[in-house]
Amino acid sequence: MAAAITITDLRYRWRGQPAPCLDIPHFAIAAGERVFLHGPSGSGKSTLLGVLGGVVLPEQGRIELLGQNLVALSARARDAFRADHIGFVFQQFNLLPWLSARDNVLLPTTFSTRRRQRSGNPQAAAERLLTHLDLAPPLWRQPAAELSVGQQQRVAAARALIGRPEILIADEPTSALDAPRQQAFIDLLLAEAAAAGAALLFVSHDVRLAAHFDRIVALADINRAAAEAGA
Amino acid sequence: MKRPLLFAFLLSAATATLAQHRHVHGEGRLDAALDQDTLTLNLELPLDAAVGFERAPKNDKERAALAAAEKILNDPALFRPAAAAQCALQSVQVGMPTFDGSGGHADIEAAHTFRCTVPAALNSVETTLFQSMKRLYRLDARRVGPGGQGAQRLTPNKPVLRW
Amino acid sequence: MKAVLSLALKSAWARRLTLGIVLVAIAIASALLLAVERVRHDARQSFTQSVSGVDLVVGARSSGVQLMLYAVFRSGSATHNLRMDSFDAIVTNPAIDWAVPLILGDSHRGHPVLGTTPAYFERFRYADARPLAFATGRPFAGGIAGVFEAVLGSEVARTLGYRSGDRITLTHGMAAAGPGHEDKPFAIVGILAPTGTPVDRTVHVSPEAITALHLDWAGGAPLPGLAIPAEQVRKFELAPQEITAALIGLKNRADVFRVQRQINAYRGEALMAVMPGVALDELWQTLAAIESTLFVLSALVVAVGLAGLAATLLAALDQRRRELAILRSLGASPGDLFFMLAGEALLVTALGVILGIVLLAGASVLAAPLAREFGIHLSPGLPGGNEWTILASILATGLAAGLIPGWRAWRMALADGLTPRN
Repeated sequence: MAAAITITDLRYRWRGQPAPCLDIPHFAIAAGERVFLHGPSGSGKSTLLGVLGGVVLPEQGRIELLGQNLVALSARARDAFRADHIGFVFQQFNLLPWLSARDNVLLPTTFSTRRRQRSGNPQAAAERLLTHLDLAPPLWRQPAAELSVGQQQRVAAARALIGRPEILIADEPTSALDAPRQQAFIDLLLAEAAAAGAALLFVSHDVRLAAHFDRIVALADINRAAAEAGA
Repeated sequence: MKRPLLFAFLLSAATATLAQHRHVHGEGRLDAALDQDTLTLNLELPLDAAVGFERAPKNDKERAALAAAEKILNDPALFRPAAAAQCALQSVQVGMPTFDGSGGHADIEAAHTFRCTVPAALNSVETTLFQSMKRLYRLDARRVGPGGQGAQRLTPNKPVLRW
Repeated sequence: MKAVLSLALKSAWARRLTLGIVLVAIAIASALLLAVERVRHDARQSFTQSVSGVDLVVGARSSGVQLMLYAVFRSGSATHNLRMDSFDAIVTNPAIDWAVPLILGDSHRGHPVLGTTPAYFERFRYADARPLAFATGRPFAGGIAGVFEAVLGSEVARTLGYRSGDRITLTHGMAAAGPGHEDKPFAIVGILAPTGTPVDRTVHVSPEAITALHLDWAGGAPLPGLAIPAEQVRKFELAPQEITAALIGLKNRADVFRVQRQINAYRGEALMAVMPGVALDELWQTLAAIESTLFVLSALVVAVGLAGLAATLLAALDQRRRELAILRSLGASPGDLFFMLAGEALLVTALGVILGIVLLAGASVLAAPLAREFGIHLSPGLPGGNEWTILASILATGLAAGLIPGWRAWRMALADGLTPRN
């Protein structure tokens, strides 16, 4: 099976900055592989995720997701590709506060035909995911805004997982959780990624969370820009 | 006590408009009547609007101005009835002031009579008067026809009388 | 699209308080604009349709406005009457087809009493040359036979609950509590169908009746010691000596300018003839300024309402930046978001306009009796003519107000949703 993510000769520079903040000759994640990427704040982690999500375009390089070069796609096609193949979990949960927990989970299936088809029955899939993530049925109909922080984060995870996207990207998803819940959440995420067969790229500044991952990567090790800046 | 108070108010606000036969410099009157196939247009202008003075001419220039005004009012194209009505001019009569010394005002009159083949199609009459008499800024037009009576105010920007 | 619509509705529902206030503002604004337009339109209708088919209204020389007021609108009173012999002289003019005398001055419980000949019911026209019609009964008989018979306008009969055969008495002057003519009751012989004109408010009797009522009167009061019973009046000469005004129809309408000049030049008495159609148009022209001021004012109110909508949507947009960006990150296209925002604006405007129509309908039912006092017949029911144009332009403006935030949402960086903001 093809690699989930392959980055080749990526260079990215913020507008107006003389030096690039990302300069990655090569970085790859295999299908189904679960990778922990760490680095201090401001080291370019979020920018890298933006590049992988197709939100920011690099000035140079190939970003291949599932064998598709993201840079070559039109904006519209990139949008569709992202919605079809990538699930995101963020530091802030990015739920629609006025929408029920279950409807939040269902959002990707309303915009992506592929995710809808892969989920089989979206309603059932959403409820199964919420159950797996320990959200009791009475909570499903509640507006997201009324859920606790931990509950919201699990809803966000379920939303990222629905329709079994091949790639899961999590950006500091545990920073709002207290320590005991952090590990529990990561374990849930790992288990669900494994169950869905999705590659997981988990980004955090906190290496203590890295225990159960297949591979641990420091951004500084793959990013020459960071190495130069540090030198 | 039931009374149309609104009308009382509105009408009293409008009293001036019905004053009969005013003579206001710059304002003329136009009476338009459609009778069977005959369209009669009677125009009455303060002489001042036509030539800029209201007395007997004192010199050649003023005499020329009077002659020019008479020519304008005699112009067969002074009024243009709607083309669809197929109206043909039958007669033009112009009444110039006699300056007999009575009163300070003098009026100048013109009557244009048309015969229309399709009187039912007569829904407008345009006048070129404003173009040739720059001092004229208003014509208070009254019209009668098969559809009833009406009044309209013609101005250089709206020189068309409509039925 | 259905999913997006459902999301848009849920999102709007979450902001229902703010949107509700905007909606009410738009509703009030559109109701106001429609009300102004309707009053304007109906006032003009009531005004210009009050008489037609009458070529000249003749009265004693005063102001044309006053003449129109009392002769057509039954409001105010004549300062001078014209002599019957003047009337008789005028109508010898061969250009005149018919002439109907009008005698005003008495009233019945606030409703004007008009003394006129039976020809009035045949000759009078309103709106588009519509003749008067009898809902029940018949015209009063001409001359002596019908001297104590009366015909009521529809509104008189309706508001006072009269039927054919009832008996009424008249009052001298227009004051409801003026000196009475109780000794000479009238039998109602007919009730007219509604016309939407001052005719509806009028009690019609014969000219002879007016004379009969005042046989034992002088100088506006009963003569002391003299009482002529109703059954005796037929012994007297009842043909009126004076009339208030006259309606004149010509054989050929185009002669009106000439006949008007001839009447104005009548030597026996100072008379004036007014062309009612021209007078109404000219009066309306003077009112046009008031009319357009009103319209501009209410258009401004609508503008304020819609600016409120745009401001609300824009302010909400800042709060909704995140929401829209989340939707974008989940695959919603810029078009979807545009649709959501513009659709919301359109929906709120449309609901506001509908609510405005409902408000107006309610208000016009409540205000109809009041408006009738002013002589305006408010037409209830669905908007018509110009009003649709107004509604459409409110909707279009509402949509335009939604396009600005829609456009901004379109342009909004996708990065908003994918990059956490702290």
